[in-house]
Amino acid sequence: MPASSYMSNYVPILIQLILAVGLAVGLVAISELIGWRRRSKVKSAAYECGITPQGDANRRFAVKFYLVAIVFILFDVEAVFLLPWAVVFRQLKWLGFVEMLVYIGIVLAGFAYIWQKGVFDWNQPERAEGGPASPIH
Amino acid sequence: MSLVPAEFYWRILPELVLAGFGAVLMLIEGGGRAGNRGRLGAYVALLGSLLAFGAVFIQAANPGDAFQHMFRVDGFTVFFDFVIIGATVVVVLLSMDYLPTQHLERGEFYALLLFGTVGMTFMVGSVELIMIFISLEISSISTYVLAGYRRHAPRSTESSLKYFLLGSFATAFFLYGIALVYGATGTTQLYDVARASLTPIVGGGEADRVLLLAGALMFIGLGFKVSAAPFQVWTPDVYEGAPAPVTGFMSAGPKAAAFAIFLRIFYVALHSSGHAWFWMVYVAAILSMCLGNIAALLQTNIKRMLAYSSIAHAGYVLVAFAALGPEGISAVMFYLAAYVAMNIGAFAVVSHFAHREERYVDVKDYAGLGFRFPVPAFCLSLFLFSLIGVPLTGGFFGKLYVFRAALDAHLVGLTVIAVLNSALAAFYYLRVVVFLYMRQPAEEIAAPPMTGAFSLVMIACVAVVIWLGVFPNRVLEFASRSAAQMLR
Amino acid sequence: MIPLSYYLILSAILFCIGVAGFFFKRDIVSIFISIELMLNGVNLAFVAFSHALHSISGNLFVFFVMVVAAAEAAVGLAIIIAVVRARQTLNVDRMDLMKL
Repeated sequence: MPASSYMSNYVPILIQLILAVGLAVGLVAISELIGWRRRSKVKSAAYECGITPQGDANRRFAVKFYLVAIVFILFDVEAVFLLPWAVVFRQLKWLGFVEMLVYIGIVLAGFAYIWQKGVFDWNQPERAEGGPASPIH
Repeated sequence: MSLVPAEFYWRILPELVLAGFGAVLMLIEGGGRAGNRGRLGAYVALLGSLLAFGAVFIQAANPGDAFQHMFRVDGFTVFFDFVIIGATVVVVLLSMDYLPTQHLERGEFYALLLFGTVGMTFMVGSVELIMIFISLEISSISTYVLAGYRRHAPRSTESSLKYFLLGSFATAFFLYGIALVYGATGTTQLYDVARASLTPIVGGGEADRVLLLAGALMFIGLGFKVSAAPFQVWTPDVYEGAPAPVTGFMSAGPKAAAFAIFLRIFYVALHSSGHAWFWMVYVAAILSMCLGNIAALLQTNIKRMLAYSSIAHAGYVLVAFAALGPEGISAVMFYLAAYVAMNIGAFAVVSHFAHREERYVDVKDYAGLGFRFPVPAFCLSLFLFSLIGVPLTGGFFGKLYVFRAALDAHLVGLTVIAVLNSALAAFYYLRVVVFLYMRQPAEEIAAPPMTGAFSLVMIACVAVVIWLGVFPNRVLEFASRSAAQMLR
Repeated sequence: MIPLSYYLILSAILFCIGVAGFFFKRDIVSIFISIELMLNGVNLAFVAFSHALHSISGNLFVFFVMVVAAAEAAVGLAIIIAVVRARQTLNVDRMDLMKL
């Protein structure tokens, strides 16, 4: 298929894109040009669904959250292997089942490790060095 | 495909043993609150790596392919498995001394060591590019963490960060190369790629160019891993910052494994475009040797000096690589075996003298140690002489075979450069020996005790270096036979 | 049908943006994101080839690459946290304790 006719399929999308961007930019520009505004402390404050905002948005989070994020990425993505396995589960018969059990066993071993390391122990203050504290601290 | 034949599992037995022991180590480390878990971890790791070393014999008795032709046990695999797992055993022994000195003894260290070794052994046995990629990553990720293991020392975390960023950058190039190979030939099995590259899917000269580009990208990726110039920038910093036993490990295991897959990919899969990538290897060899040796001359930190020397040694190996034949492969294999023994030995002595927080790693700190600590100093001198390539050491025959392979391939210019470089290298190795025996110490460094583990390390490394230097024939014959096997 | 070459060009562009980001960004996390971008550029190439060659294995490779990238991300974040704790900065130009 020649490229020109192939690209012509996209002309409607292009038109829509121009319309959408034009509308958005245009409306903001018009209100900017002809509207007038009064500044006040309340108006320039961050909108927090009606609750009075407190503190700075850039405050620091406890490192524990990073730890949870790290652990989450791993276990989240490891589940991806279940998908192709589930598709061909019937053809694989028992062998596939056993192999998946082994795989899950390995993942669970990792889970047991981080559990014992106290990664899920969010209420505990950071423990002293040398103890079974989380490995990142 | 209902049942996996039992031989398949015998063929990956060393990897299974290592992975199993690694997992057990993690569970031991996580559970319980006993005070001596680090020590227990060391013994478990030692047992695991020794069993894995034994398992290589079982693996060797079951040659053949496994798991949809993704893994192959041949002489080549067995040779590198012995080298890599042997290196791991030595590093575990070494860490048993080093970690308590630095107050770092934890089971995870040993678990990461074993997992890294799993990656490396899988790497040398894999004949499928995605398998190679995954095992490369298993080995790299473990090493990234190990490099930053002294995590309260800014240098160590910095070294880990640099290694991680540049390592994953290089891996992305390698992966792009794999994608292009897959696109051009429709397969990622190395021997199928070799067949398909003769009748490519993409058609005509275009596929040749795609494969060439793929080769260049993979060369970048692997060049980083073996620290060949011009991709060597990370090496000195990472080697300097990482804990000394880890540096020894990094310069041995991952390097040997990366060269192994280098050989397999370029000699087998990309054989048809050999005339083109020959020049990449040629230039990288010259650059690595010259840059490595000249920069090493200027160093006073001994770990940094050995880092530059390891770049230079990557250059020598690439010289043999450029020979493009079975002699080249066997020379690479022999050289790597000798290099691993002497380099780990040298780093073992460095980590022995390093003391807390790695305080004594400068050449000046080694002044006068020859008479105060005769045994480690003598061993260090032996390893340095072997790195120079003095007769009766493994390094001598390593260099000899490399030069011979290059001359047989009529690479006279390259050989001359290599010989000149090894002469240049003698300067900075000998400088350490001069400091050991002929200088008065400015500061008396604290006396490290000669423990049983350290003695074993010294005995093992010295034995291998001398053995390869006096009776090289059996190893070389084995290497040539497996080289021929690999090319078939 | 979008031709294969379009995908490959896009994947090459993504990869090159990643490379450029790696060289020009000074923030560790941005550098790390650039590397992830490179990997995802390659993933696109894998999927495109897989589609063009009518072979399913390319799609599977993407799974493996994703898992490896996640493992890299986990280790990378951990290393970054360790560095920040030791140095209180995320700028690579300050990572200069060891120099040539």
